[in-house]
Amino acid sequence: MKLAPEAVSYGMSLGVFDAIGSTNDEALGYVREGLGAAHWVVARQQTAGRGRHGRVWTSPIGNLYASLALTDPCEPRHAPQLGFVAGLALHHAVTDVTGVTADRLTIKWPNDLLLDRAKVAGLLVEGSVGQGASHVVIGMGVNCLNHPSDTPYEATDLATKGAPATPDMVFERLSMRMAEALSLWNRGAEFALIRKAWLTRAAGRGQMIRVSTGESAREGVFRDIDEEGRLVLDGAHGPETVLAGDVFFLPPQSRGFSA
Amino acid sequence: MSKQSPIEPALVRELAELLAATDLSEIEVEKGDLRIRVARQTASAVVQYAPAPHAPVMAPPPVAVSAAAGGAAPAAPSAKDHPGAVTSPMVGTAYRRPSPEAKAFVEIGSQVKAGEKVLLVEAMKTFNEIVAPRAGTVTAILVEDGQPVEYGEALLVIE
Repeated sequence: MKLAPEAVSYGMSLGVFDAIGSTNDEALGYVREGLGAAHWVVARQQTAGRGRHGRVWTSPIGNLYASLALTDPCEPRHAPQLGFVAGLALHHAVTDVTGVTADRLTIKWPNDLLLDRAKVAGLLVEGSVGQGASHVVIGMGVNCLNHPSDTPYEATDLATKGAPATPDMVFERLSMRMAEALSLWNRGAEFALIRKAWLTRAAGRGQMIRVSTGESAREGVFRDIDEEGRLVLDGAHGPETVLAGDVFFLPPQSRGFSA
Repeated sequence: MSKQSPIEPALVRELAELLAATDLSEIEVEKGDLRIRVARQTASAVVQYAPAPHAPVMAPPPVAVSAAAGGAAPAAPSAKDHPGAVTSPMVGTAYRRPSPEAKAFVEIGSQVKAGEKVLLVEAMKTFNEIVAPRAGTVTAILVEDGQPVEYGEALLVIE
């Protein structure tokens, strides 16, 4: 497991573990102690991998589990943009090492990577604000060899889809693409460039979607993301902007059904 | 924005007028060492405009994320101006617990240490833990679990 030369030039450092609880927890602890401004934690397996709201991220050997910790990457209110920066970098990296084309590999809002419409990689961005410098950790899991079969959204892995790549290959390229995307983003000043590149890779744009937020859901046509990355959909009562939720794609004939 | 300062009131006023005229929520300017940010609170987490130029601009119904807002914020209205108020660093959804089944980080009366987690604010799957900026006692909690919050909105008070 190693960093690409571009990542080293950017000032990134790397710690590799055979097994760890959660790469995000380890990375957050690392930056909190002021040990580096852009530090990667990569593990061969996680024993307590996490997703959104404490959901389990199944983490057997053979997949990539990488977290990048950043010290003061931007003003805290712009931190959610980092999910899009990382999603784009992840899309580039997987495309680079597998050669799969953009019609098969897409990004589901806000930042899951889909291969043939099944989830092949996910992100969890966590930050800490309130005392001293702000910190953000971007956790990324890429299903190279294995995928869970009991998820609410269908999952897959690169090998199953005939696009094999090792975690080491994906990581090295990812480190380069993250350095590149962070430079382009420029602490949020150039989010418009990230947004534009992201939208060309977005899954289901122009289609009916359902956005579920726990006990309630919205439906509408996925139109756009706004200048902060919020989802814009054309609902039954006009355009709506959504800040959080799980996106599901709906068959076209369900247009008109109101949640 | 500080009261007694080298800040030129005329400039602030001009920015405030510009803010209103352009319908922006925030303007920030930097000149030498001086940095001024003029911001105003918008009504809710729902953004009242659509970026697509052709899209009809109409007040959308509350989005799903605001559904939990109904019975929220039972605290005294003065709490947000309290010097011990901890404010939200971003627009998002506030959570009082790390996962739906877990215990709340803090309750009213909890003693907290500086750096201790007190809340989470999520925006687009970015989870920001809000940590106590100082040690003290939680005297007010101004948000409910799952409530949308604005940038700069008071979340709780630590005294």
